[in-house]
Amino acid sequence: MKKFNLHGMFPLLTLAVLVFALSRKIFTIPPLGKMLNPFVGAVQNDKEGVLKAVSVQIDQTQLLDTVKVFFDSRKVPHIYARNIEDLYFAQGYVTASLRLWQMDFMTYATAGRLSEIFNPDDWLAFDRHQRRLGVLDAARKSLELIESDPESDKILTAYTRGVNSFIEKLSYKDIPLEYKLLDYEVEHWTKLKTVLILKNMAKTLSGFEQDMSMSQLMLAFGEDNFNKIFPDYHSYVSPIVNSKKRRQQSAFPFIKRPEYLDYSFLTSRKVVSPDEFNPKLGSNSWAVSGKKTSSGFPILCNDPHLTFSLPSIWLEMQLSAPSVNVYGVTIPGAPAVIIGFNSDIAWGITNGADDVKDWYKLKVTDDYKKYEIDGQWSNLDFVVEPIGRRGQEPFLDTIYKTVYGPIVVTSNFNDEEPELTNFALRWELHNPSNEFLTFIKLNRAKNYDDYRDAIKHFQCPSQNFTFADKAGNIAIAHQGSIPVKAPGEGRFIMDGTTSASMFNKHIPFDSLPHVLNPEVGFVFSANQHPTDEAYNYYYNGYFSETRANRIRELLEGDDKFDVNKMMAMQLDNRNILFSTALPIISSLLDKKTITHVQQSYLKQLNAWSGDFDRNNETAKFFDIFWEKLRVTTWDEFRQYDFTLPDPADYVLLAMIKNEPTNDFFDKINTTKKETAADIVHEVFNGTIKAYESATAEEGTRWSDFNKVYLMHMTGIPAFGKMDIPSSGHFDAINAVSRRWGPSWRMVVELGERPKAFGIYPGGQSGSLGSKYFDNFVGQWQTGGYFPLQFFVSPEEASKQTTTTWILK
Amino acid sequence: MLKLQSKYINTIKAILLVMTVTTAIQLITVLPWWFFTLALILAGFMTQRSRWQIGSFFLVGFVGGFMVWFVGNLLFDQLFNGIILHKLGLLLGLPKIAIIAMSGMIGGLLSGLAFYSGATILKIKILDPLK
Repeated sequence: MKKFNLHGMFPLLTLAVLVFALSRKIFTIPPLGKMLNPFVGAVQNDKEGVLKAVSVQIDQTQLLDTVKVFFDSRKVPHIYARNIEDLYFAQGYVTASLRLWQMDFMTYATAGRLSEIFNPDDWLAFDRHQRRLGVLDAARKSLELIESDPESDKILTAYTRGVNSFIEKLSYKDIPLEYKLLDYEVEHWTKLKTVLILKNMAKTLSGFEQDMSMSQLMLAFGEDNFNKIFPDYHSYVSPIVNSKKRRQQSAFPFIKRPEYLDYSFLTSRKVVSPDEFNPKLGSNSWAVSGKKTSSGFPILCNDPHLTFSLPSIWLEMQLSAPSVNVYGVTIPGAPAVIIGFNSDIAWGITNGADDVKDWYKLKVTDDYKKYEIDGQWSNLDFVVEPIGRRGQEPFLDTIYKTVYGPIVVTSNFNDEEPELTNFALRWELHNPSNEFLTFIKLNRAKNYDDYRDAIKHFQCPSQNFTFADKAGNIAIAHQGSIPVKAPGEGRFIMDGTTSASMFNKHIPFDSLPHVLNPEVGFVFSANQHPTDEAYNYYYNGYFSETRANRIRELLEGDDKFDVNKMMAMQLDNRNILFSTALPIISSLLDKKTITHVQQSYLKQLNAWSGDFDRNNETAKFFDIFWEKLRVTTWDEFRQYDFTLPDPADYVLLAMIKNEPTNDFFDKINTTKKETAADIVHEVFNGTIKAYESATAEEGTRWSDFNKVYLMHMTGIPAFGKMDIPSSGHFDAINAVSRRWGPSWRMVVELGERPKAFGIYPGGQSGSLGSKYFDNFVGQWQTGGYFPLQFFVSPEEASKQTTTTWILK
Repeated sequence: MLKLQSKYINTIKAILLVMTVTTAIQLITVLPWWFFTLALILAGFMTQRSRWQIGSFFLVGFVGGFMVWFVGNLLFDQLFNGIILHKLGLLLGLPKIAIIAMSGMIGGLLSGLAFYSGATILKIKILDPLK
């Protein structure tokens, strides 16, 4: 028998073990050997590469013809192609070269595949939940629909090929740092991935709902109180569209408690889990006609408020081919410009905020074989979804499906949202749709008819599309797939045992709120109610009125708008609800005996305009005051061991003004019957203490508290930008909050040639080592804008740009 | 004295050899990142075969590898934007120079072991207990 001399083998074995260990991620430690190798590791991601070259030719891209890409000094690509396929191919190629990891990671998160990247023990529950919500399934169905439309399919295919053309050129040295750090490989792009990108947007913008909270509130407070504090409509609404015909009956009548809704129906456990969605994600957009501008041409503005991230959600681009020349922001991973303008039109988008997501309580057999509907037991369909796990066999999850939609929470998977066990989810997002077509058509639209033809394809999430054209028209439309509901339907948990509760119809396209050239000379949307009470259909949603009211006030107040005034408007920091509330609060305090110290604070408050400017020293005071006022007034809501949503601030304001002796002002733990004046006085006192304590620690300026955090998508603080002191308030037009706010500000004046300005908090490159990763943030923070260079020919682009890529 | 001088020169030569091999192989970036260690095993083997007097093979490999990785990262950091290693430093709670030094240690350790392995490979004998 032969034996090896192990003594000689020892260094070799040690080396092999070391190479093995340094080649892979161990727990959270990245693969240090690969990462720190100077020739292929992290330091190779420290350069701009071809983004900095004066001129570079990129071969073997499988294009039909040559494409020129001109990068301006901010590294905005201006793509010139000779045919449509090449245009979108190049968009895919260029986008991947700037933002590959971001767009790819987004698809992993949306599809429920994070266990393939991270530790499955930490992420499997997330992935299962995501799959059960039905987002991946919906993306597959939508892709089938998209592929059935030859034009959409051609564009999507070209874009996908473009992304893959870039990926195929990558070696380990070139891949984005995040892949190296998290130690996983770049996979090929697919059309499904692109659909997932838009489904993710749909999920974010239509995911919020309060069915369980509202059901609990209806039961806890009764019909009268419920209608008073959670009305479908109130007097402080500036709707997007005013109805032309007056109806006798309001679209929003008194809401009755559904007969089936009682405590035994809901669940034996009173639980309302916190919502993962943020209802305050909103946006502003408005357009003014030439009658109200100094140039005589319309101006359109848009600033979508989304969760801040690095890399930024947006990527600026100009796309030019024989039938299209458009400029604006794109979403990495999706073809076409999403918000922008061309020579003839400009368009903007805000979230429609309709409730298109509903839960149905089912009767399901314990073995999940049957569920009851209309007295009959039907078979419960199911699919088995394999969920990939890093270093382990895939997890097989069984997802049950009903006529309404999937069952998200089941008895073996109910650690989160246990109150929704055996409820079916019905969501407009589940239905196949082709939102791409809207953008493809808008990109080349020339007039109002083209715009209408484009937006009709947009189903979910519902969106408000503002429009202006060179001919002087302005328009707005509330567009999306919105179910026809009886009053109150969809606000509460639905009864899944009867098919009568299913929504079968949608509001027809022509009946959705829209207006062309209103007499006032402007259109605007800021996630407020789309209509007034005279609308023909009942609908419900999570509408915000404050920003809209301020926008209307400002648009009514001027007839000579220009680009600068519009920028100032986008940066307006006033919370009009607070400025409306101030005199009412003040008059209540005047009725009370107040101390000298209180007097001085009241004087300061009376001099305040409601503006959340960076250096304002009263803003924080009122911010604390209002929060305390809400907590103290709605103390009834805090008797429960779960969180219930407070009524809208305008409801509170109306109650202070019109019903100061309402029982809600009476504190539940005192014998005295308090009124609004008592509460205001008590809260004012408490605010002084809280304000003095907070300001002693942080400072007195509003920006000492309002600090923006641009979080890197990995969540790694070292890669984000933290504590950026900022003006703004989520209920001001300039809705800058810590984690979300104006993710793109755009002002476009149409005319012989569009004059446009814009900015977003980020930079064009997604590479962590690039100078263009976050170079717009400083300007964005101080309210700056960049002129958007819209070229009319490749020759012009060539003269005014710094880098040219020739793709062959 | 001459012998000592020759050993000293040989050691420097060997370090330069390690650096050259390490750099040359790693410049071929399509190869796996650890491929240079194979080349160093071979280099160690050849050096041993040619009976150079160079003292410790491990130390020679270590110094050569350390220099390439340390200077490589330092140089690229200076030539490029100088951002990424700073961010990695923030992530790991270390200053940039510590990250670069850490890379030097890794490069040194791998090169040292590889070069030493090559030199000791001749010692791997198949022992037949019957003989």
